[in-house]
Amino acid sequence: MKRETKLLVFILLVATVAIFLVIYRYEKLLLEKDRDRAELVRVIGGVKLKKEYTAQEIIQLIKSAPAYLGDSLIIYENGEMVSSNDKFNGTLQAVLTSEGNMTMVKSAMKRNKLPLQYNVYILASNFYKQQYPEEFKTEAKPDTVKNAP
Amino acid sequence: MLFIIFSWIYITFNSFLLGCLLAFLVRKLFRIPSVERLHFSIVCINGLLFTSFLLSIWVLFYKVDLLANLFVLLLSLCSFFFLKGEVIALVGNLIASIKGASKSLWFFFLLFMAVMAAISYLPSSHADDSGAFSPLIKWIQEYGAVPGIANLDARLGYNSSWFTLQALYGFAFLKTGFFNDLNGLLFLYLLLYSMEAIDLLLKGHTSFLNYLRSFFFLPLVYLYFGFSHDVLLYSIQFFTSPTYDVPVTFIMWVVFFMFLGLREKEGVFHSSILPYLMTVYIAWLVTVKLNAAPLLIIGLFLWGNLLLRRQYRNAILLSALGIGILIPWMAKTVLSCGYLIFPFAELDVLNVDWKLPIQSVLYIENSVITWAIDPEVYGTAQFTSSTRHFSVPINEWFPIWYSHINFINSIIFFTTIGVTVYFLGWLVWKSVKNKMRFALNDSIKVVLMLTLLAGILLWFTKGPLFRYGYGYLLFYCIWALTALVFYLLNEFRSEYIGIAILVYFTYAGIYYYSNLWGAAKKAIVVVPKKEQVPAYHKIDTGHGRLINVVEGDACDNAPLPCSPGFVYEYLMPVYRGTTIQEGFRSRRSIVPQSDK
Repeated sequence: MKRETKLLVFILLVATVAIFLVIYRYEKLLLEKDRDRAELVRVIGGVKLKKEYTAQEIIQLIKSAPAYLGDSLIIYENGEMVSSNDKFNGTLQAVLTSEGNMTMVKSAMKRNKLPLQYNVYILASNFYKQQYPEEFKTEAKPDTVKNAP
Repeated sequence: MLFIIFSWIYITFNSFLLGCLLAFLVRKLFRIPSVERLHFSIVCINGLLFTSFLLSIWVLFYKVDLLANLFVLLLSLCSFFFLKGEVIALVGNLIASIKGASKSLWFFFLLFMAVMAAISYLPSSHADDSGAFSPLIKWIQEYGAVPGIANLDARLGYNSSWFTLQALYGFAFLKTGFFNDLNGLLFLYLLLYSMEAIDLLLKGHTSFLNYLRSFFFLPLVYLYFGFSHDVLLYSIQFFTSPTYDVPVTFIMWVVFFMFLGLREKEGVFHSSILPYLMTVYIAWLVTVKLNAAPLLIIGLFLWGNLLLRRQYRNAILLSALGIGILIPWMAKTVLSCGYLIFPFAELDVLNVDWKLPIQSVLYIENSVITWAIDPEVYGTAQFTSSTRHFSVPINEWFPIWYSHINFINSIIFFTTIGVTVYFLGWLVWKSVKNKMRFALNDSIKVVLMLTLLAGILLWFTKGPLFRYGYGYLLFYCIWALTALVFYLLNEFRSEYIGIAILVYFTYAGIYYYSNLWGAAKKAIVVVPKKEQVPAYHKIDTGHGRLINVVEGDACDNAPLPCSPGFVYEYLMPVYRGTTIQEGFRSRRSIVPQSDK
């Protein structure tokens, strides 16, 4: 192949591959969104799904979770959640603004059928404990020695 | 961050000197007359390999702590005095390379050093770290090899020689926190290796290997920070944790480059250290992670070539060396879990009282596959069984697996298929044309292709999680793409390719990683943080012999001996004797024991 032909082939190949990749990625993202949106067939006698939670219910759910940090929470009518712990508010924001983290939250929501704010809190709480482990130091008390069964 | 950079300088100092010693010993053993100039990164990786091998013997008798560090340091200093001339010559070559290299490359190298130091400083977020890697390293640091630790948690049966190295350079005796930064250092070694080729491109040295060495590392320059990414391949968690996925992948690539480099050398089996060094690397990589086993095809090819050239003495020595590297690693695996290789239930040939119940081995083996395919569909006891191997046919699980792969992995998947079709066509055409006789150049290409395909097949059938297979998949795809680009562009000035790569680095270092600088500024002179201690309680197994049972599913930094609650209830570990060093056994084991 001549030198100029090779360059032309290279440019055309790169352009074709780039266009193909953009279209393929776009298609894949659209298909994923379609799959998320797909309605499951209604089943008579199935367990009732709670579609709406009040702010108090969500806060109660969070407070009864093992990952609860002991802070006070306010949930506004637009769904925004604010903690009395300033540092934790930063962690909550980091979860909400990260696509990867929100993917994890949405997949947890699908699994546990619990509201968005609850799942955001749980994930953020795990990150917070990793970021500030000194706030959660736990030690075995000397007298908690059990006998083997 | 600065502490991490200081630790890297110390590790590189040791590794460089011990790497020179390894090269010297290999030359003497195999009677190679000439002193070959090896790349600085390869010398340092030689040193890591040699240190790891020595520690694999050390750990059988004693813990890897301050004394082990002093031993390694003393050995490095002795290497310097013994090989002074050679070391000084190598350092001289290195300084000349630095002076001659493009200044922009040095700017980017220092920039990425700061980036990797900042990333290595971050706390580990790898799912397997708190459950397996960190506890294993802690055992090596505090007790060495202890019989039956897998009875405390089956995951402790995993035995990688990378962990002994992590234990050594974790500097636990400083009591400051775990220096979890060997993977970041390996990243920099390979970046340096790639940058030499980029420098050659910028200077107009056009060769296929220069192109390949410049391109292969480009996908790793961008690391993602979240849980998953549609385009980027590696998460920072591979560099914040001591995972063995990184060294096995990176060093496997070094072996492939050394192998391809043989095509450009004359009389390679008489005058080059590379064939022998490669075999040592291959044997060692199997001790890092078992998925490196297909590289034995390259090892066998090299060994076969020695026999063809009637170098019987070297062939025998090479086999003995390879087996010699495997023996201490296998001995530690036997001590940990009672099996020769873990998790490999078929090799149940030993009858020791600390042997892990076979159900646990099968469970671990199955969970690797089911987790890689789809844990939601195959994570139940029916598939992740403790009584039989995972046996769902490929045509049944493939659609489920395929539906979950992301954009970039689907590109890699289809590229792999396309390249394989092309390669098979080329192989048939060459076989017919040359009537099944391949010159050495073509043989090397064929053997490398077969090794990569064998690795891909092993990955696909034993645990098709893409990050397990990047060592083979990525090299396979980039090799093919480089061949295409080289064919089309090799008649043009290679400086343009080099400049394009520099632009790529600029975007990564200046824009993509800009978020790190804010966090890094606060951590410049801060030591790494200690790992978390989870909530646990002590259980007395009799006569004051305590086991710390963690309430969660991972021991993390809990004091030893430690067992996660759900594992303790199943395996019911007890002491074999009166001390931790005597080890543990499971009351669920079927091997009859006498009570002590």
